[in-house]
Amino acid sequence: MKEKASKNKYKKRSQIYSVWLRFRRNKMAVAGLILLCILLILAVCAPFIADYEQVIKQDLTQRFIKPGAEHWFGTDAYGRDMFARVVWGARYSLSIGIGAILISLTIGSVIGSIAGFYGGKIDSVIMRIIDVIMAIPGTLMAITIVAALGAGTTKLLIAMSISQIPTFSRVVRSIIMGIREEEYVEAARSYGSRDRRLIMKQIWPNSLGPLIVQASLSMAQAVLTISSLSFIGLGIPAPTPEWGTILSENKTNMRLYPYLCTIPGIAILLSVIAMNLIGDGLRDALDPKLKN
Amino acid sequence: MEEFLTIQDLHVSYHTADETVYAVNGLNLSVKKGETLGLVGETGAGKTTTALSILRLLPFKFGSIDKGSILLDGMDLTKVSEKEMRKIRGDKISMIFQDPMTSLNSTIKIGKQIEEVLKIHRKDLGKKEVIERVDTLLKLVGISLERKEDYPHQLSGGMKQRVVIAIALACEPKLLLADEPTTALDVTIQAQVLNMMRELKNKLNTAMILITHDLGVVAENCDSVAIMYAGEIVESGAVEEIFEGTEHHPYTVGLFGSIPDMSKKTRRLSPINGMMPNPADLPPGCPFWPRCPKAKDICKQQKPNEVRQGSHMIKCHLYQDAKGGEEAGK
Repeated sequence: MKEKASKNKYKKRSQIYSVWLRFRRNKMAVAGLILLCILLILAVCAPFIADYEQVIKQDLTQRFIKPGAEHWFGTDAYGRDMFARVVWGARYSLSIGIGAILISLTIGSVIGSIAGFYGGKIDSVIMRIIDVIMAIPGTLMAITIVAALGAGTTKLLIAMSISQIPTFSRVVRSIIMGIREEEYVEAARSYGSRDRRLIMKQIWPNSLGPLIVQASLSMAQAVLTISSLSFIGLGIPAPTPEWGTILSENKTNMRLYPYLCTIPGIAILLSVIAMNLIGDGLRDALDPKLKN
Repeated sequence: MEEFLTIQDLHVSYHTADETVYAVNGLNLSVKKGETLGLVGETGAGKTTTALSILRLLPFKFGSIDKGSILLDGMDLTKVSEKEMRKIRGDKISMIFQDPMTSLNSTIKIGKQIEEVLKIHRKDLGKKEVIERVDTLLKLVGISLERKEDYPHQLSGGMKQRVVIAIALACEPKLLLADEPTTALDVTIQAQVLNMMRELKNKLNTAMILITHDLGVVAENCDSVAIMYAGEIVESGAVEEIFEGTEHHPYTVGLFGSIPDMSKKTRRLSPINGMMPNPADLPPGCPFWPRCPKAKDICKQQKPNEVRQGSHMIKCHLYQDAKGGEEAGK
């Protein structure tokens, strides 16, 4: 009887579930995940927390109110509620960060797959171009692109994506080069798969693990770069509450009202730490060699 | 029975930066419908190269078919376009690879891997029909349907090879190339897998080329045998003709001689002396003469012709004179 009951209870673990079990063991990574979830929830719920009106409307009678019960994070030089601005800022910073990573991951995967799978001349040409892009520091690259295209949310997204493509294509290429000679690839070819199908179905999924790790680490980098660009005025223009923009607006009042800069600064810090912790945790959880 | 696959005078070579390796040199082979041919030979004799040439899967940078024809049902596979070839692979001809541990993709569920072939070649099948077909295939190879959602690492070696066989049989191919399908399995599983392959082959009336170096496997499973040495068939015929009878190629004699005999008390095995010649630097004349106990002067200079007696073929100078009249004019 007992045996029968336990047999019925037995459930198959899916791949994702077993990765989660390993991820869960890393307390710091879980902390990072919780932190990022809070930030994401805030970002998604921003319209319910504060009206966008409230975020950009200037009210000079409410200037420089210290953090307190009414304004949790105080108000800035234009009398805008800092809490509302930081929450709305999460929406911009995180969405551009995530968007840029998704775009560069997709394009990078395609480029890396082609280079790694075909090798030879195609590989040489693609990789030399990638090398050239990589020789330029990411931030400088983004500055150059934004300077050429002009400031704005979409343009920032394009700039960020382009500067991240090389990293992803390198990761994918190196993995695919190692796998394309595997017997199961030849087996798939022996039952009639075409190259495109081979790459997409047989080879690319193998690079998913490292790609996810790379994505979460690059995302932290991206959030930081977006804020830096906005800080120097090349990212999102002023009234829009991006974290870097908020920092930039308030830098002149930093001496007298330090909370104006520390709060958005902490927001950037927390999201970057959270993403890095998740990245480290995922790297350990996805590595089959560290299964125990 | 008609000839289904005919290979004539096939030459395959691999080119590297500093040498050219002649892997297959003038190979003649034919398989009838529904027949099992055992391709036997040492490591490096060119067995796998032959199989890969039939599918045109030689490593495209190094390997090339230099000469000869491979006729499948009258169609020359060395001449068809790559697009045509892709339609043939997996549909008309499919291959079972040596090591089931590496020939399945570890990131895809086994059910999905079987679906792949059907999706490529049976585009007219609906989603439901594909799944039904996968289920029948799994039943056919004796794997319970619950395992469909498993990844390859969750299966044993024998089960993996069954999945590989299911993939190979998915489109009911007319020709199955089995490249040492049981070498990576232990002996009890070997027997199971071979029995299953034999049954399925008979059920689907598939012709098969069974590549192996296990003569026991050949004796049990094959209708005819071809002995390969240095890229050539040195002796071929029906199983009985190779395993019995008195007239054999000295290499065949050596092969059988190196099987330990249980009834005799011997302390050492009796291998064939020497090594296979370097295929990049083949000796002139018969490639076997440096190791042949019966080598004559003529062997060192002249390649022997094929001597046929019925279905039995021997390529050796020993039988050239005695059966001069029956010599096959090639």
